[in-house]
Amino acid sequence: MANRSSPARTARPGRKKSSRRGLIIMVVVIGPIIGLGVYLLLGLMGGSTEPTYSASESVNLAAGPTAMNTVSFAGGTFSPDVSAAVMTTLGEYAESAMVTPLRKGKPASAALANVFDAPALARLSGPDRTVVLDEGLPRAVGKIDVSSPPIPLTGLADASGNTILVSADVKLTAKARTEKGVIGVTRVGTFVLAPDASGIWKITGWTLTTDRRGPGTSVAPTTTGTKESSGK
Amino acid sequence: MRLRIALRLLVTIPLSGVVIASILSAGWLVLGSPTVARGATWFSITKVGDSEFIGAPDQPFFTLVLGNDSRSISEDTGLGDAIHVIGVNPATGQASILNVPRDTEAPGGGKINAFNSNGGLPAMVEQLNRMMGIEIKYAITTNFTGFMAMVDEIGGIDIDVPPVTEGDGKWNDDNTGAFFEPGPQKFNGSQALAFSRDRYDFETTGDVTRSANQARLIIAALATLRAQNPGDTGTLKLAATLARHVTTQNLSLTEIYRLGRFALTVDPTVIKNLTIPVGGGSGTNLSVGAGASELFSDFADDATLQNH
Repeated sequence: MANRSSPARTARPGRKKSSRRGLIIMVVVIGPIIGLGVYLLLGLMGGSTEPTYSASESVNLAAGPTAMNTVSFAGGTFSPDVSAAVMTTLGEYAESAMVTPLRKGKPASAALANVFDAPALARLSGPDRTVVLDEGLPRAVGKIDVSSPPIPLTGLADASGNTILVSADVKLTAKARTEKGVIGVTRVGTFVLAPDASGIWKITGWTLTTDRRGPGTSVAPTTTGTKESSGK
Repeated sequence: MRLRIALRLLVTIPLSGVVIASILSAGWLVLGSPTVARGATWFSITKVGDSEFIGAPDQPFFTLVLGNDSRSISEDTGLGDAIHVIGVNPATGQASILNVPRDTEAPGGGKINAFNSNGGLPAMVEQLNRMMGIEIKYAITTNFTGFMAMVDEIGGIDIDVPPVTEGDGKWNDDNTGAFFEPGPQKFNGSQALAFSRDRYDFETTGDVTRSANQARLIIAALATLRAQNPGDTGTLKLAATLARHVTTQNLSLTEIYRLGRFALTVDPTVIKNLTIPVGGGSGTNLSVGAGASELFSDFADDATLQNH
């Protein structure tokens, strides 16, 4: 009896150590799992428990090569100030027409008024709206990335050398994680910008084609891509 | 004892999941991602659509395009010898051109071409408004030098030269240098000018046929540029080219761009090209002929011709 019970007694301290280790592992491993479960549960319940993920947007736009068309025979150069002002407006467009709608479901009207001139803004009340703004899509619950290859800028200057119009050839892509999966937006074309009375450059025209992909974006799909054809 | 087993299970099950996930991930990395069968739907792409906003007028409008006979680079108050009123209806995407022979008697008396040399574009616009019962919104004029430079700068004009059906039936005018074979060809600036000036090859119809040929050249220029599909960025360059060589009325550089951008959306094959009916008048003047009032009414109501 003593021989049988003796090893058991001597093993006790090791067992205690093993139990403590198991407890630590349990806390470390199971804790986050339980937390994740609660998190998902709250997310599924919706309503007042809407996800409150902190946004970490990323808008990366840079000017590409510039060119200037002038009425003057002497020619002209593209002003760095104009380039900076135009890129600021394009960045604000990305924020207010792409990021904000993806985050909140609709764009902020006040912000759009800073980006589009009055006729262009009026145009957005028509069928062009869905091509220009990314609203009505599943809400993003994670980081939203907006990027474009360097954007070529072409200007038109009057006889006095003042730049009055600039075209920006864009290939904007936006990626956002939603509760249903990752969605993507590709917007290719040209924005035309002009300075308003106070000198702020605003979008005054465009020629755009927009594609969207991912769950919840196929309201009325006209094209179905395959892995091969889409390349992604 | 039971509690210990339960705790071990709680630890072991998640850990097993992590180990299995790690093995699968490693396998993915080593072997590559699963191959999707060709043609299998991977994800859907929603073609949201295209959108184009130019900011051009959305109501019917009239534009005077005037060629004057000044040879000076900077002078645009020569005789208005090429007179074309272009009506555009943005809602329908249609356009019509009414050509006015230079010797046509103006409502204000005398030949209409003289009003440009006496009062410039405003005077020409006023006379044409009175004649046609319209309100011309924009006006643009160029001279010989500007016209040739413009054509050369845009790379020439592709045109189908019509056969001559009068006189000797050939394009061979020494006065203008218009020597062409009928058929498709590309005009440079001097050829385009010669084509638009030639009236001696048309013994019977003279300036009436010349006016129609000038409008033919305008339509050919539009078709040539449209075929190049310049888009917004290319149109900025075209606007600068145009503005370098013309004088305008009520037309800013921005509007030149917007109107040019809009013009490039108009199908050149559906543009109607008519010369107003004219008959004999006092001296060498031509009087506005029979049927002109119906033609002007048709033109004035929506800037395009439906019944002519």
